[in-house]
Amino acid sequence: MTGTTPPLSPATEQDRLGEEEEFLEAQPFDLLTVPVIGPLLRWRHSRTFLQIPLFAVSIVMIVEGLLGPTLSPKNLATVLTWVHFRGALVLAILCAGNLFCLSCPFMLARNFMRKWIHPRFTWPRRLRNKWIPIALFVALLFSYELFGLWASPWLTAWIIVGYFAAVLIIDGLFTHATFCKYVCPIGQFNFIASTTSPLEVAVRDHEVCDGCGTKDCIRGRRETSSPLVVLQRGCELALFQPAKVGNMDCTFCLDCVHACPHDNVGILSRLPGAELMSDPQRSGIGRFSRRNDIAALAIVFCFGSLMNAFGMVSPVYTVEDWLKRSLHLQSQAAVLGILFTAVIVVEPALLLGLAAWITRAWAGVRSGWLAIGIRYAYALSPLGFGMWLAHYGYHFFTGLYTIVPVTQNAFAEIGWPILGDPHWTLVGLPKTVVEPLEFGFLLLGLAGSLLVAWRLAQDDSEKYPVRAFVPWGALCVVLFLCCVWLMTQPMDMRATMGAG
Amino acid sequence: MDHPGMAPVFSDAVEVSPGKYQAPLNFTMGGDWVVLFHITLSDGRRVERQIGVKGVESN
Repeated sequence: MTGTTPPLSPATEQDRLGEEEEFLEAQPFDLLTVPVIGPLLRWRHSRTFLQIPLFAVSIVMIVEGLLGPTLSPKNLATVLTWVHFRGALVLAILCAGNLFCLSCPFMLARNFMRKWIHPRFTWPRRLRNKWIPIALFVALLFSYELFGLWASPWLTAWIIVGYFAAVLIIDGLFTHATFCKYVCPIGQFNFIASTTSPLEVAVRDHEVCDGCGTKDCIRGRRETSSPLVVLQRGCELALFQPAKVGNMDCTFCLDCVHACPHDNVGILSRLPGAELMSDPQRSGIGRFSRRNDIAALAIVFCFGSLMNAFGMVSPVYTVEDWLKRSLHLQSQAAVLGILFTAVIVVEPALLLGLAAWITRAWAGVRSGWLAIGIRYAYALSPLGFGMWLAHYGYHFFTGLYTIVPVTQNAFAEIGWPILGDPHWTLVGLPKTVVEPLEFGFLLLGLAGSLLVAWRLAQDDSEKYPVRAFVPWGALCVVLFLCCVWLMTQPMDMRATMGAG
Repeated sequence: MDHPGMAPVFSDAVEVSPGKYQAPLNFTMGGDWVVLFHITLSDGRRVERQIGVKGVESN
């Protein structure tokens, strides 16, 4: 017997869609309910369990970087750092969330230290912002170009050592997760990138929180008889779960999951980038529109992705030569300084300033042009993330298998060739496979940025949302075309060649 | 200076005259290259040498 469903009246259809939306909102996917993964993450020592392998790899990278082959493509420190780690990090953020911070090896060392050393100071109030990590992030990008970090196992190893030292010194002196929240440049990269992730650590049922009297998710739990003994940490980044919005500043440490006595915190699905589309009061952060520093982070994140890729294609040498000739410069640092200033400071100031001015004048948005620029700066994050994905994903996929011969070589170098002779012909996926992925990432980023800009424009101007959107949509398209141009330029990369 | 993860290029050298060897190499992209020589001497000993080739321009 066959039958057909009678057509629904428009009102009934609307009701049905509304119910479906409500159901989807009420029933998000929760990673903690997935077999094997869920119980593993709920386990109190899950983070340590995930950190130990990365810590071990970090130590191997330091030793190999300092004592191993000087040729970068043959050294574990450089191959793992500049090919696999960066690629895996952005892909994990795209597919899940901030998994690197979850398994951060530096925090394992810090937690171990804090068993004996208890910090006494609080981070100075005037430094409780993102300006220091933004400066460190730019410094890292600058050093990468100036010193050719990709080509130096020795420098790469010292960066890892420096990271460990900085974590131990800062979190040895200052309470809570000071390093993560106010210093770590990789952390800030992860925070802003994970605003576009599909998963977030969030409350399952807000009504349960309304009736909660202990607030363990932020306070943690201490021994009743000895209040100095911490049984379970609460959120060290000052994110109070019921008022937490999105992934900004969330390290996925899962302390709140373990602390909640009502089992009311999950790792829930959401629309990627949703947190950029509105401007609520956020626990531990405030409103995005009042955080110039986080807006600057979003700008550096986006334009830094262009600069980082620009440093790896042929036209950069033409520009550098032109600058040297025109300004009679000899110093490579000075030339790079000018380039960085132009791309990361001057260019965004002009472009965002112009877009903000047009929005104000044309769409009648009442805010000042600076406030408008700050508000819409967040819309650039998805596009920036698309560019980081395209760039790091390229190196990751095209160099995917290089870890095999490099590991074989590392064992052979220590006189224990248990993995056989290095298979140097193993490289990675062909460019014909990887290049479509690159453009897919860029398109995904553009779509995300346009969507965020559109939603912000709708909120800003009920009367002229299109007028408010057009300048920012145009800016996103221009930046997208810049990304495409960069990805189609001949690479002026560094490679190795064997002749035998 | 070279970037890890990039495709290496391999080539066998042939003796063109006593003590003189020649190998065709195709630099597949611009940048700084490193040429690694894996040499087996007549007495069976193995020698490795490397030469940097900086500033190869893109086509």
